[in-house]
Amino acid sequence: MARFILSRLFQSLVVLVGIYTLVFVLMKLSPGSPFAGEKAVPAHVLERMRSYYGLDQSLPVQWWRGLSNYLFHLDGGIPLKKDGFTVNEIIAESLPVSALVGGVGLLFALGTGIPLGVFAAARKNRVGDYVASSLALVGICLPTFVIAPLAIAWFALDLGWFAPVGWDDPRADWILPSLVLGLFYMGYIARITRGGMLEALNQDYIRTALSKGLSEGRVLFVHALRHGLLPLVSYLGPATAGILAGSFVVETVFGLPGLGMHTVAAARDRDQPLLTGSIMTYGVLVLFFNFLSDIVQYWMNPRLRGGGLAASL
Amino acid sequence: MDPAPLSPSLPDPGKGLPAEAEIVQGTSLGRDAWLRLRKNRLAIICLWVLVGIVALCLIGALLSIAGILPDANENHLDKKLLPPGSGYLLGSDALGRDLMTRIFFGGLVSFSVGLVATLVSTFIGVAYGAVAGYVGGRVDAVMMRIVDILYAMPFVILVIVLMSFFGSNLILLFLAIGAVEWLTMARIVRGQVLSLKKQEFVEAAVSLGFSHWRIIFRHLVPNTMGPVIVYTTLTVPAVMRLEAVLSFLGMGVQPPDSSWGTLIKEGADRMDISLWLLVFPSAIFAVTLFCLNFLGDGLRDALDPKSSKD
Repeated sequence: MARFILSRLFQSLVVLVGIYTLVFVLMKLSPGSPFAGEKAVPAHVLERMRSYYGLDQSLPVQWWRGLSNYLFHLDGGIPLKKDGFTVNEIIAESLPVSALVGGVGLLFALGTGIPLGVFAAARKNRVGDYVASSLALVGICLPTFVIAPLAIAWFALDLGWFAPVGWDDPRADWILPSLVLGLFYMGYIARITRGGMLEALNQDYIRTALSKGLSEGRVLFVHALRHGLLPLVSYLGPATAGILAGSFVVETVFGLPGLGMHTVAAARDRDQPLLTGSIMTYGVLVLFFNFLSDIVQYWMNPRLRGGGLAASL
Repeated sequence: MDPAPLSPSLPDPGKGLPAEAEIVQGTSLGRDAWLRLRKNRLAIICLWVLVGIVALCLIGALLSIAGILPDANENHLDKKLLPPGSGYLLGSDALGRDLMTRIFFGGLVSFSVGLVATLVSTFIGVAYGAVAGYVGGRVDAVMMRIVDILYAMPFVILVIVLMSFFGSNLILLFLAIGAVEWLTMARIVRGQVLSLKKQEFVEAAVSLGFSHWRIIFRHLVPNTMGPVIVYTTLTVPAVMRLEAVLSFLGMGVQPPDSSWGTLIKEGADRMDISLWLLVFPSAIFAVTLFCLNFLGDGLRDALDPKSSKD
């Protein structure tokens, strides 16, 4: 296990360097300048700005300077468009916002999606299946930018339960965006759970368990669920990272100062340090949750283990 | 010479063994699946609804090109924002264009984005994931780290770069979406193959001396079809949604052309004064995604080789 974790750590480092390099190359290749604006900047000012941000140096030097700052100082540098902040400060401020909304949303999605999926699989092609599956689909069938304004109009403006937009209001502003975000993931989780459970329920050991006289509930939740959740675990690795790193659409509609919004703004403004920083943050999240997902899968599925009884039979 | 008179007098070699002949012929996986799918009433209804929507969009677009229905991109500034029924069946938009024909044309764009991008991503993802899972070891590690690197690239970044290079182009939209969406498929297929390759039928195939390619694509990949189909049918609506998100960012299909995503976006901007601009495109979009999802579920049940033949 220790060897597995160590080799994964090393691989993760390689991946992060790869991510950094890919963003670097893409930003250098893409046309447009962060300093281009409505007013033309005088040439000597542009020169000063470029040298201030180190953009006048050769590409390999720029590449290495940024990378070594990450590797040795965990420092993302200074953004090109947001004066008075460092990249680290912006991320430290916006990631908790996205992570809170995403975390609550994910819990909501898991808490509703898994039961709906299991129920639908147990009632395959009967009315219960159709009702549960349809419920799960609500969040998938409409774009978030339609659901979110409707939710604001109904729950915030008509019923007055939540603040419509913003972050500083004491009325728990994170609930409504969390639910809207979770609604979307709920559909996927229910679908994947249903598919995995149907696959599991067709296995021979389920028939064995049933023929031995175990109760249906026990077979469903103890024997089948463990196998049936495997596809979901594999899906949840990247999905968790995505949901925690913030949804641009949800953050825009609800006016949340989250990471998703900064990422898209940075890409639009060609703000390379900020974009690199937010994508590296996202990358760390993806790596971590993929790692977690692999460990959980290994633990849940004996077939993935090399040695032991399963291999010797 | 006429050979026909001879044959009736000879006994038909196949006639004595009808049962055996049937067994040898068997039914293909596809035919089996179709027979099972037909039993799932909701999936069949969804299939017909989808066929109907596609046909409606096609016929509507053709009628508009033929001049029977109004042109989708022609502005009538004297007839803007007319509610449904008043001259225009589904109303008109802010530039006086007929919403109905715009929905027809937009549907064709949305469907083609969804299908082409999904096919591209499924093909890449299945091949990549199956090879990584089957070969294993260091090759697998390198291949999956590449997937990890690409995972961390938000889709929007790639599209912004592509679009600023080549201008916004529908083909590029297909390619960009397809090139991003295969990652999850690769991971799913790899996970399946990792678990499948330890089973007896793969050992049997190996001991029969089959080549690696044959084992991967004839023995392993067909067994991953359940999750692949489910994920593919999740991908079509996901791609259509993604296209809508791009429209939200102003990077999708460019005006005056429309997709369902751009129409919904336009509607969402004016939902307080002219609700029909939001309701009609959203409704047909939601029905389509709903049916695609149910059809996918039905296909999943039908394609699982292990599911009972009742």
